[in-house]
Amino acid sequence: MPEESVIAQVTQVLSRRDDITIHYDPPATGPVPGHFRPIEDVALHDDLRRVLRREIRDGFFRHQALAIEQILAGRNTVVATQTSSGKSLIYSVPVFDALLQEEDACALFIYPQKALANDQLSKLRVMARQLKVLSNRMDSRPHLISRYDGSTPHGVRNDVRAEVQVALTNPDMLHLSILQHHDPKWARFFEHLRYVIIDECHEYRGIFGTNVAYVLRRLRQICDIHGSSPTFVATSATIRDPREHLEKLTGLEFCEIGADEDGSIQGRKKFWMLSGRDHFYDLGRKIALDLAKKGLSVLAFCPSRLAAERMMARVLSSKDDQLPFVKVYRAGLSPQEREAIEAGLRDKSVRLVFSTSALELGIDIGALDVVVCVGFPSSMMSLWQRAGRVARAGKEGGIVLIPADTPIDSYYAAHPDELFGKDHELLALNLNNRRVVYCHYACAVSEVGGVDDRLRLKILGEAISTVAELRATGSLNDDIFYRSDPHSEVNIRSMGEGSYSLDCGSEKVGEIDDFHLLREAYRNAIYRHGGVGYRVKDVIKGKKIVRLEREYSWNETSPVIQKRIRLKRRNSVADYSQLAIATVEMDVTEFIVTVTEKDRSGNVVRQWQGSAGMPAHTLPTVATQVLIRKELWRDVVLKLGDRQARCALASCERLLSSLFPTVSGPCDTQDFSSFSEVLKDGNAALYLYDNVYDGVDLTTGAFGKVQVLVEKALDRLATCACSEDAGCFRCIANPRIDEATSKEATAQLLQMLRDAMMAEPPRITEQSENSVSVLAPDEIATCPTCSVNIAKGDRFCKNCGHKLI
Amino acid sequence: MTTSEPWESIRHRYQDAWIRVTRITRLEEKWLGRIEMDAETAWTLGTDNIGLFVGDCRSLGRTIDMIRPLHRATPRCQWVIVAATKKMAAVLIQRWFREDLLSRVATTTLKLPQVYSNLVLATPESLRRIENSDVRSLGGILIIDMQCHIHKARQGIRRGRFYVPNDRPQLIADFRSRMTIGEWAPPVVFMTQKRAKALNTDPVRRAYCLDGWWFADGQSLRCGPRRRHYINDLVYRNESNAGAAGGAV
Repeated sequence: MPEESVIAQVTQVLSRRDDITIHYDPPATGPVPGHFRPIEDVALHDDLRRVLRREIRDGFFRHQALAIEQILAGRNTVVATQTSSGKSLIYSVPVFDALLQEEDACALFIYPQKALANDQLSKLRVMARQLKVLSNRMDSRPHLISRYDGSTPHGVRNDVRAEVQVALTNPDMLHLSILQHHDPKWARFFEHLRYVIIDECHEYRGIFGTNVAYVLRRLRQICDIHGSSPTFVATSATIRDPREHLEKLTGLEFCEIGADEDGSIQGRKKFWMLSGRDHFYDLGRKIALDLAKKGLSVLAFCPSRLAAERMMARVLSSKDDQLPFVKVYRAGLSPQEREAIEAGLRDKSVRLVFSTSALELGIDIGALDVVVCVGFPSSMMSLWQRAGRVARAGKEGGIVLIPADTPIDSYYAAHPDELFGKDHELLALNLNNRRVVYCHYACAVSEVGGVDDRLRLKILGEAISTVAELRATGSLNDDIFYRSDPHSEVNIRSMGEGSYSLDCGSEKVGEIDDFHLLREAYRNAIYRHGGVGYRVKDVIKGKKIVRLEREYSWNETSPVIQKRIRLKRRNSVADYSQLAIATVEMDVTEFIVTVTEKDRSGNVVRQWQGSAGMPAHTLPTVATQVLIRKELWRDVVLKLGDRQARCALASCERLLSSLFPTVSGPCDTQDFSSFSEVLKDGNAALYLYDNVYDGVDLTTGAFGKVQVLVEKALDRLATCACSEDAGCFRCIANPRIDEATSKEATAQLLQMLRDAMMAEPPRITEQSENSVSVLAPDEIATCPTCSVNIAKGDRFCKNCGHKLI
Repeated sequence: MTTSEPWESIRHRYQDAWIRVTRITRLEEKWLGRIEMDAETAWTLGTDNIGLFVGDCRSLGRTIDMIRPLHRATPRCQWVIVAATKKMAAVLIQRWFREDLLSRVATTTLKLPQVYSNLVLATPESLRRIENSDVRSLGGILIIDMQCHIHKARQGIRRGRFYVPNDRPQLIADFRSRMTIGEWAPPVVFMTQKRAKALNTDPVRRAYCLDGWWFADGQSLRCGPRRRHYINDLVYRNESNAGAAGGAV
């Protein structure tokens, strides 16, 4: 009997369930045959060619051959072909060729995650062992190909630095260790550096990407100092405008090998989008388990660590015996646990894994059969990365998408063609982010011996040059420029005022940034870390310390956080008579107004008023502002009543914010936020702002798209299946706070906004801004009562008690 | 509870202002005018979570003399007096509430809290023994900490090990949270011998879970019922002082 195909098996499992509604069921795509070119076409070292002939009998894929030729010719190259198209080989071949041709040649591989580096390391070593020359070299120098990251034991780091020729690292380590100590510890390596490989380059976006852009510029500066000029190679399967992004990321010119040149083999692949009567977690869990029981290997992507653990717990609690083929994969597992799961997936002893996005990127877990996405991924890039886990190497695969109970997922469930018709998001990088530029300027100066004049300003870019000019005039004197160790002040994954240390007595429990401090480790909070409970006794802003005490109760605490907006500057304005839409720079100050402690039954045990001595958190950022002029707002209030109008404004804000990813991206909910308020002058305002210090120009992208966004919000309200006026979590109900909502009132407000925008074309005014004005320091604010200087984020003057926010 | 309910309740408690003091800046370069602890001030302090820091109180005896009239205040407005130590509580009893006593009050047998008409005397440790029913119309919490020590008694290292023996300011913060009505928490009046400019007031504020301080001159503190001529006199004095200090706000 012929083996049943994967797609047929998934169809069978889904058809057995009568409680599901299928929203999208397009025909399967593929398979796609490969286009090959002989290995002999590419000028490589004979030994390498011999090994490749043995390993890849059909020859290179068309795009592989093209890319390798470009790289060997010394051109910076970005490869943006599909998942499972052999991108790792593209950068491995030139590196091995250089190692064979030149005894001292070095290469630096940069991965966004440690797990990826680990996966690639073993592959590179296996390939090197097949090359006699390199194998011999590895016998005498075991760290010839080696990882150098936070997990590298301190005892072997000296040996690695002395021997390594192919170093696999991450941007954090590059910034903190390698660049900082380039001379003399890494002098040999940088002198002979031939290739810099940037894998999964789409990960370098937002504030992380902006930081990495400066780390790479600093890397180029160091190479220039040591007399080398490496070729940069970047790869990604899910990136839009790769050449433009890489040029911005590195400051170099790139040539692109894209989808048009892609000659890889792709398997047959099919999507299903469905929802059911069960909660989407339960539906996802049940379908995934059914598929795994049929013998298929299934990867279920969950929205969070907690969700993955809960689904696993449910699976286990529904059975008397343990299910050895079900596992959880998430951050926080030990390397051994991770490797065991990865190996289990490869040899099929593990058939169902509940995973977070940790398994999204190109870790080798073999060819899976089905991916179940419980809740849509936060970006198109994630969606295609997840889909790329199946149908590899010509095999068949299925992808089941289950929308979450959120406005954005419900919108896409109603408009699946829009979702699948979307291109990958534009990757936001803001090279003029003041805080980032200041920090990397300080690091760059420290790396050239602490003398500003030694900076390679042409390499470091325009923004750094501007800071250098401002420094020369003496107008920039921030603390960061006077730190002896500026590198340790910079966290390249997030940019804040530095992290707070969580201390329980003399024991350091962990670290927490400003943003999460207000949400998780506020004064009197019960903070849980690795299953252990602590009570927050004190938060000391000056010393950046959170003092904890062990807590043994099962109570939970939750804060109510309020926001205040301070507008600093308007850039572009689209002016309607009743409305104005503008891109603005502003400060968002968040502070706690109440902390509530509840027992396990939900009864309020205690409540602390005020922020309990907690420092407020001020985020200088950029935003798109929708200003409803008082004439229009008065009409809204007359029509709906004051209370209803305010509720509608809040619902409107939430809806526009949730649907923002449909018009722009990337759309990680952590990347942006929103706020609405009725101003004292009678106007009302909605803000969509970047959740990043000084912004990355993400939400300013909504400037020209507010009307589209309003249309989509109206559509969501009209098509939502809920019958009550209060709405549901799929439209306007707030999952965090129990507050009054009205679909009718929200729809009326949205219609009035739409009418106001459609009544006339806007008058658009643009305020041009040069980089000097962007990078110049903020003016110091003073108290209006006693004129003493006010620190950012202070709610009350420390000298006179005047209320500032 | 609607927002008007706490306000009505506070207005009912503060029908008369029994505490008056001159507000100053922490660095004492400006006088910010005379304030009365009336319903509006108590509402502002309670909802904005601000404490009143009364520094430069001369001595415990003098401080008792200054706040003695509070004992005669209307019973609608109750005050919890928090003494820094049991010994201080004994002195307060002897020199304030039980002036008729001929012998000294022994700290070993002293039971706290004790209720004297509209006042409840306690130490931070005995606050947890105050029932909500004892203070149905609490106007505020008056902390008498002449040496400004309470906020330091939080946690420490003993024999190389971290310990939290008795978090005293937290006990006051917890009591205050227990007495909260809606978004209003009873205001804290903190009395100390130290001048604000001689202290780092930020850790004190943080320890009591407050968001800010209003600073006041302890020597200008007056308690008792409002008197017309007295107020006029104060306004006159305040204006002349403001002129001397370079203009009050």
